Amino acid sequence: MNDLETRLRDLLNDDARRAPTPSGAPDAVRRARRRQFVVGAAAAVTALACVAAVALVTVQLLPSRNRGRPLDTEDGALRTVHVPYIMITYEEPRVLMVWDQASVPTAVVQLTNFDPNVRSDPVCSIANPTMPDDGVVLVVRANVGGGPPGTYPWPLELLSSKAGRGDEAEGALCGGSDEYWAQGRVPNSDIWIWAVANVGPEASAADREALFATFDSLVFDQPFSKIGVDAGHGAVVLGSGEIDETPWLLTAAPAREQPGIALQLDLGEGPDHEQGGLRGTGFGGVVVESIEDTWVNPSVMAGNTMLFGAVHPDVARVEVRPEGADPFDAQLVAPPASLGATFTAFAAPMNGAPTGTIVTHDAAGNVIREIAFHPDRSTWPEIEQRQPPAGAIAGGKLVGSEWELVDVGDAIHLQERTENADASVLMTAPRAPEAAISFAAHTFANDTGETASIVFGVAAPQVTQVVLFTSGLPGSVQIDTLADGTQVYWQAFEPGELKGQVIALDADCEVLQAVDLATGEPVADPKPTSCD
Amino acid sequence: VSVTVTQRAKAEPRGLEDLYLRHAPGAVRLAYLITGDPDIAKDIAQEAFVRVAGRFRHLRFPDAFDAYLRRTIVNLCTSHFRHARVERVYVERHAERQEPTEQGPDAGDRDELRRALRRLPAKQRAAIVLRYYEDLPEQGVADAMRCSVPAARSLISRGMQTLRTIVEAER
Repeated sequence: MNDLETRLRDLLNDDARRAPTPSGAPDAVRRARRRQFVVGAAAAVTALACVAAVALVTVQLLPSRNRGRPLDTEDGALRTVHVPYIMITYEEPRVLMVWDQASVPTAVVQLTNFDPNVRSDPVCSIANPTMPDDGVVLVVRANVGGGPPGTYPWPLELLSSKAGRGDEAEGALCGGSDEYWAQGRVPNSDIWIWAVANVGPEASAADREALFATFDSLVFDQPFSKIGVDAGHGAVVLGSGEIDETPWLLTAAPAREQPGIALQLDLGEGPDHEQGGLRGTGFGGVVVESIEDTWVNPSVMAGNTMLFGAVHPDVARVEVRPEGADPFDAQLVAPPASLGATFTAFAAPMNGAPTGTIVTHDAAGNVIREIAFHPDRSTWPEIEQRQPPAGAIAGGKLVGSEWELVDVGDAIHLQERTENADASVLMTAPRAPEAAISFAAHTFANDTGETASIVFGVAAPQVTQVVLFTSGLPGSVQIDTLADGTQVYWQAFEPGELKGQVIALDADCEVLQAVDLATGEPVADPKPTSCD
Repeated sequence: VSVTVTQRAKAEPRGLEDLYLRHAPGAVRLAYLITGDPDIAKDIAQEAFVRVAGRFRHLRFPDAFDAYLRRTIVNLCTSHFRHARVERVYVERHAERQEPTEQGPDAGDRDELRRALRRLPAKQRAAIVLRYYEDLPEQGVADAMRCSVPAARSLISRGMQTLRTIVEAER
């Protein structure tokens, strides 16, 4: 115990001796007894009301099991979430959103007791001007530098915006809500903060109290990682927690420049993944709004594994079977309806760096799919890419084989580089597609039985997107435009089972052509995409 | 049967009074250390007792009456400051108020520390009182303040840091 703590204890004990004696018992006991009677009566009435409401509640809850609630929570549970610059503690169920503006060291968080329009700006802004009558919303912005001089230091109080504005301001704010604000700076740092809270005219006292308690709970600090949220789009926090004392955060956000939802995991501490030995990772892929069955991504960081992914909404249970450890169920959460995603996300923090299997089950308990996972390998893997050799369109390494795509004039060749730098042609795709796309595929295998495949071809000018379905989530493939305007598409993936479809879409998201990966033949019933 | 009923009818009122006598002094001390105001402390302690005892039969863990009472006191103290929106004024006023003169060689240091404690925001002050007067572990502080353990840890740490800064600055 240090000197200050000792002095503090002594002081508190001395001051406590000076505390007044309590007021007389009779009055307090009389009031308590009266309250016991009232509480008892209220409980009886509540019980009756509950019985009457059961049927209604059951009907209401069944279709709305996915409320955007973060993983592993119960009503009333407290959750602490770390986002850049801000640590916030709140009571479930709430929807927490994060805006991370890429070019500015700024973070904005928004907490609501309702599903906000997650594809818009924060609630009560010009672009998103309304909120439910019984809603409460807290928006907090933290940025480095640039704050007005002379502001109060944190901690601050939320002050009513109506103060000093006169009665004519009554009801003018965001559907008649009460608005509160605070502005200040964080002592001993260059973080400047601004917060606004809105309380709907019919918000409950409990929600109002919880909102103020959340504001009081805020802690401002340097970011633990950079969340890869696009500027202008908010990300919904689906789950958060700590693994080996390292915070992790699972978010969902509209994908950039294409339809679909990006699901991303951030883990670690520090402003930059690549400097200072700080940890963090993320999934930069695209999750189209419809999902075939299961997509899972194990990420190993600092000796621990975070397993996360997405499953079709029909999946009722995701069972994780780590190798050498007891199986357990990952908890499922769906983003708020306003995000427009039709998948359910899951995350499973695990100590150690295990391999294993995840098994998805339907509501009847039937197994839908079993997928083996391995550290750092996704069912939609990050394929090692390299700078293509001179003259090549693309190149990389798959299960030990060096490959490249080469334009030979009338066709695109997939070549394998040998040790003496010779190239052998493995597959050829015609440069002039008969329909929307030409198609070729090849599977590589190494001595240990690992496989990887690559699909490629040429896309006609009207093709704006090529989507690949394998056993996991569909995703848009790479498209490179050659000097003469020819579009070459390609995608490598592990494991290399050629099963699924590749689909060409135009600018209106109309399916122009679908090809079966196994046969290379056209498909009459293309898989549904987000444009359907 | 009638004897049993009679005894129970008598026992319960006596129980509430016992409960009050047992817990009220500690409740007032806790409220006093957080608010620094004897009158407010008495009011808050009584109100907290009425609220918790009033739903005593509905408490999930009646044996943890003191924990419920502590949580309610902390809540009422912080609500008091917030709802009245007088914390800043209060803190300034009390920071300037002459504290009772201490006897002994370290009286000046104590006054400094007391003033610094009064200047802390209500939540930090409550966390510090719970940790260093009630001797609660971080989990206990978090329970009493209805926040997570990291948040409680942060409140204590920030409070101590602020105390240290203020005390050193005044030297």
